[in-house]
Amino acid sequence: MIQEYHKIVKELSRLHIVPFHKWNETTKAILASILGNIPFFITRNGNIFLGEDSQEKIKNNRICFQAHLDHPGGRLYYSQDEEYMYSKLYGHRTSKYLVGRNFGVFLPGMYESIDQLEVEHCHRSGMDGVTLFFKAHNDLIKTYDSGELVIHYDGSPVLKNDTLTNWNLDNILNAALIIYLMKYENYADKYYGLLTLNEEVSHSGLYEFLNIIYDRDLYFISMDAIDSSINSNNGFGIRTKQNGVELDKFIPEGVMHQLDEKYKAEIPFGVCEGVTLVKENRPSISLFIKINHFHNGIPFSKFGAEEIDLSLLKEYTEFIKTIAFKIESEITNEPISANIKTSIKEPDINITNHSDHIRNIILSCDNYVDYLTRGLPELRKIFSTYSLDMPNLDSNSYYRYKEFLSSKKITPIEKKDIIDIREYLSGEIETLFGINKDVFLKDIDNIEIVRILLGNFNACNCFNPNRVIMLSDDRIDEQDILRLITHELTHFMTAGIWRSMNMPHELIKYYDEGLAVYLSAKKFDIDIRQSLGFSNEVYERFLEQKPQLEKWFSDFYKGNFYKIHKGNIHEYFIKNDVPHPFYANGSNVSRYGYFLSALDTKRFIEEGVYYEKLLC
Amino acid sequence: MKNYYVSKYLNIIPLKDTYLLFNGFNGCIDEVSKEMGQLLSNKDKVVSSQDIADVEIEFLQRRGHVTNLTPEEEKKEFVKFVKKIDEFNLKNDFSECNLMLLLSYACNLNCYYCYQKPIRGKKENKVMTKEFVDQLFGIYFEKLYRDVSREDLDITLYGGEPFLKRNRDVVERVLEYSNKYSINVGAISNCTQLEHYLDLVGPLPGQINFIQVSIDGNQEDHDTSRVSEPGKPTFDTIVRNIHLMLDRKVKLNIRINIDANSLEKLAFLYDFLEKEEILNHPYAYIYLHPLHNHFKQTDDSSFVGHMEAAATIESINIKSKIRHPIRRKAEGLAYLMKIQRGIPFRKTRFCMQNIPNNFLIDPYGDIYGCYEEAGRDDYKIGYLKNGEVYFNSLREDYLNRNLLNLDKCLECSISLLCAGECGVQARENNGSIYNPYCSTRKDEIYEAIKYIYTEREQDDRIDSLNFLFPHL
Repeated sequence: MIQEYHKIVKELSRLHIVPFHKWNETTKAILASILGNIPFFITRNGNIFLGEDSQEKIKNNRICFQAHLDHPGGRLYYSQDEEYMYSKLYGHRTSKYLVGRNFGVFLPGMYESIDQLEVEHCHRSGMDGVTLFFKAHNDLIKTYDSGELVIHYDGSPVLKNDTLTNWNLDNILNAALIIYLMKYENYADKYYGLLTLNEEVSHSGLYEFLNIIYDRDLYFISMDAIDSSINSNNGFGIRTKQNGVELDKFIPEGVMHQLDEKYKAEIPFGVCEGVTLVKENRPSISLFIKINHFHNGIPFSKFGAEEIDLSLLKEYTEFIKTIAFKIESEITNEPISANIKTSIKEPDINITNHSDHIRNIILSCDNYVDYLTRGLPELRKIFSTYSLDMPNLDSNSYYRYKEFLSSKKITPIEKKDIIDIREYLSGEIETLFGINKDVFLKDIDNIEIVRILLGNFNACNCFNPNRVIMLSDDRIDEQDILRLITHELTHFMTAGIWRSMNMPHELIKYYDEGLAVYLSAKKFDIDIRQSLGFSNEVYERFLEQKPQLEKWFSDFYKGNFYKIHKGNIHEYFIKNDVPHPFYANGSNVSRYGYFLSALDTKRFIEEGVYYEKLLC
Repeated sequence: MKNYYVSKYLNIIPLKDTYLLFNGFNGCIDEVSKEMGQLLSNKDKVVSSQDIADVEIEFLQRRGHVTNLTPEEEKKEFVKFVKKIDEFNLKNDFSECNLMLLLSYACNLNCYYCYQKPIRGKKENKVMTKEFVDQLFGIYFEKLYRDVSREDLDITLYGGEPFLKRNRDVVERVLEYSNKYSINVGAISNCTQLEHYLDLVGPLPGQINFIQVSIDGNQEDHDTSRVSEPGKPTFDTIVRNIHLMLDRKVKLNIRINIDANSLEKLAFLYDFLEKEEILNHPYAYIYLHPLHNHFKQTDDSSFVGHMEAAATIESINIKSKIRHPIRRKAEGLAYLMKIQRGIPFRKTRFCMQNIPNNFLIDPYGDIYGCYEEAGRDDYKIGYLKNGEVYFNSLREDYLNRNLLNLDKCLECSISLLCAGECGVQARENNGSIYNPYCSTRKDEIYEAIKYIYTEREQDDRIDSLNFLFPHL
C-alpha cells in the first residue's frame, strides 16, 4: 500500500494547492493522471467530486469520503515599482516567528521549489492570513511573468525510517487515502469522494458543494489532520465535539456503541469541516489523525515538514475501512435523509419601525445632559438588540440633529414593494449566476427589515442573530428608500452564493457590493452614478483617480500594506498607506471600493463574462 | 435627597480651561467644566442635588466618579477586585516563565554609574558553564518552575557583559536549548564585543533575537561616561554594531541614558540617529532613560527626574517625537481611549521580583528576584546545589509584595496603573519593600493621561453623522 500511497501524495503535492487555488490545464491533466479510471468532475468553484463524472449522476444513499486539498500558503506577487515581492499567506493567523524563515517558491505542476525567499517582514492582514514581504530575486521576476507562483513551506514527500514527511500532510494525507482506496481497493464502485478547497480559510469549498451543487442523500465521512500535541487517547479517532458543536449527532447509535472509547475525542481547537457539515444539518462523521508539526509548526513557533508515523497511518486506514463498513450497514437498514431544505414560495416579510420611537426619545430630551443621562440609556436598549454601535453625538451635533429631526418625515414601506423587488432580483441572480432560484432562495424564509435613526450607515445587512436589513432613516432621502432596499436585498439574497465563492473575502465583498449597486441601478433605470448616490462632481473626481484607486484596491486585497525603503545604509519595509475601500477615511475618494466594483460589475455583465470573471 | 461620595479612586487632572476626570478603578475618562472639576477635587465632599443637577449626578455615578458607597465601603470593593484580579493574573498571565542568566559579573566597560561596581571585584572571575546550563534545563527545571514547560520559557542573557569572548561557549549551549524548545532569547549588552557573536544573532529560535543596548547621549557625552576599562571611547563601535544587528533582523531596544548634561544636547544625537537610518528603522525602539541612583552609591547631582526630563524634551525643538518616560507611559495607556468594555487595569505586581516563575541565576548558582540585586548576597532568594533548589524567606516576602499587601497603595487612586512601583527603591528610600517609594509617579501618570487625551483630540477622525456622503 505504502508505495502506491506515497506516489499519490507526491503527485497531489505537486499541484501546490493553497487557499483560493485555481485549476488550469496543466493541473487538471495531472489530476486526471492521478485519478486514472476514477470518474470525477470539478465543481465550478474548484472542488473535486470522485465517483461520478457529473453532478446529475450522483446517486442517493451512499457514503462520501471527504477531505480538504488546501494547505496554508499563498500566491506570490511582485511589486514592479518597488522591487520587492510579497505573498498573503492564507491559513496562518500569527505573524510571529516568520521573519527570517525561508519559504519555497513553486510553479504548480513542478515537484521542487524553483527558488527560496527569506521573509524580511511580516504583517497580519485581515482575518485570513498574514502578508510576507521579501526582497525580489531577479530570476524569479522573469518566471513571475510566465506563470502563477505559489509559496509555502519548502518540503517534498519523503519516506524514511517508517515515517512520511511532507509540506502538506494536512490534509493531502487524507485526500490521498481517499484516492488510494477508490483506485486500489475498489472503493470507487460503491463509495464517493469529495476533495474540497479552502478549508484553511472559509470552508467555502464544502459550503459550495452542500448548498449550490449537491442535492442528494449522502453520508459524509469527513477526514482531517490535527497536531500531535492535542490531547486524546489515541493517534486517530472520531471527533465528538468542537467549539460547542456536537459532531457525533449524526453517527448511527449502532456504530457509536461498538466503538472503543479511546477512539472518541473532543478536539477543542480550530473549526473542522465536520462543523460545517453538522451546521448545515448533513449526516456525517468526523475523523481525525494526528501529525507532527501541524501547519509546519508555525502556530507552535516551530518550522518544519509535517510528519506521520507509517504504522499509525496503516492503523488509521483500517479504522476508516471499518467505520465505512459499519455506516454502510446502518444506512442499508435505514436510508439517509440529507435534510436538504427547499425554497418556499413566499417568505414572511417583517418590518420593524424603531425610527418613530427613537425620534420621540431625542425630541423629548430637554438638553444635551438630559440626552446623555436619560436618552442614551433608552437608545441603548434598541441599539444593543442589534449589536449596533451607539450614536456618537457631541453637544453641537445633538442640537443640530434635534432640529433636523423635527422636520424629518419617515415614509412607510409597503410589503408589496418588497415582494416586487424580490421577484426582480430572483430573476436577475438566476440568470447571472446560472443557478436555479430554488437553490439560493431556500435559506430565505423571512425578510426582516428594521428601521432606526442614528445608525452609522444609511442601509446595511446585519445579524440578529438572523440576517436583517437595517435602514437608518435619517440618512435616507424618501425617494431613495426602495433603491436602498434593493441594494440590501441583493446582499441578502446572494449571501449563500458569495459564501461559496473561491475567492478571498475582500474580493467577495467587492463583487457583492458591485452587484448590489448594479442591480439597484437597473431596477430603477438609473445610471451607476445615481445608484452610488454620487453627485456629478464627486463621480468625475473618482473617475479621474481611477488608476490610483485600482492600485489601492489591488494592494488592499492582496495584503500589500508595506513598501520597501531603500536608504543609503539600510533597506527595510515601511507602511504603505492603503485607504480602506469600504470605510470612510477622510479622503476625497472615501469608500472608493463601491465605485470600482460597480463599474467592473457593469462592464462584466454587459460583456457577458460576469460569472467567468468571478471564477478566474 | 441622596448624597454621594467622591470616589477615592477619582483623579482630577487640570487641562487648559477644563478638567479631566480619570477613574483609576474603572478607567473612565471624562472632560468636565472647571466648576465641576473644582467641586470634585475635594475628596471629602459629599455631593448632592444641592450642588449639581440630578442628571449630572446620575452621569458621574454611572462613570464611577461619585458613588453611594462610603470611602470605607468603596475601599472594601476595591480590595475584593484587586484580589480577584491578582488571582486571575497568577493563574493566567504570570504562568509564563522568564529566566535571566547572568553569565558572569565581568564587564569590559567602566561606567561611572554602574550599580555592579562594588560586586565586580569579588565575583567577576567565575563564568557560567555549559554543564550548568545542561543542569538548569535538566534536573533543576521542574524544581524551579511549576506547571510550565520549557517551551514557555523566555531567556535574557545578562552580565556584567554577556557578550564577552569568554562567554561564547555557554551562550552557544543556551542557544542549543533555544533551538530545541523554540525559546526566545534576548540579551542586555553594551554591544562593544559583538564581533564574537555576529553569527549567533538573528530572528530565529536558536539565535539571540532581542538586545537592549545603551547610549549615553551624543557621542561627546557618551565617550566620557560609557568608556572601556582603560578609558577608551565606545560610541563608534556601538553604532557600528547596531547597524550589524539591524541587518540581521535583531530587534533592538536602544536605551538612551540621560542626565542633566546630556539632556539638552539630545537633538544632535537624534539628528545623528536619523542620518544613520537607525531612528526610523522598524527593528529599533529608541527611548530615553534618566539615570537613577542604585543603592545610593553614585554621585547623582547631575541626574534628572522623569518629569524634568519630559518637560525639557518637550521644550526643545526636535523634529522627531522622542520617547521620554512620560510619552512611553502614554503609549502604554493609549488603549484607554478605545476600550469600551472589560477590565482596563490588571497590574497587581510591579515586576519580576514579585512574579512567580521569574528568576535571575548567576554562575554561582545563586538565585535572585531582581537583576539590580544580583550579586548582593543579602538579597539572594535562593540557590541551586547538588540537584536541589533551595529558597529562603526573602522569596516569599517578594512574592507577597502585591497591591493587597501595600496599604498605601490600597488608598491610592492610581495604584492599578503602577502596582506599587519598584520594591528595591522602596527599601532603599523608605526602609521596607512594603513602604512604596512613589516619587513623581502620580504626576507622571497624570501627564500621560493628558497626552493620550489631547493627542486623541488632535487626531479625531470619527466618521459620525456624515449626512451628506456617501449614501451607501
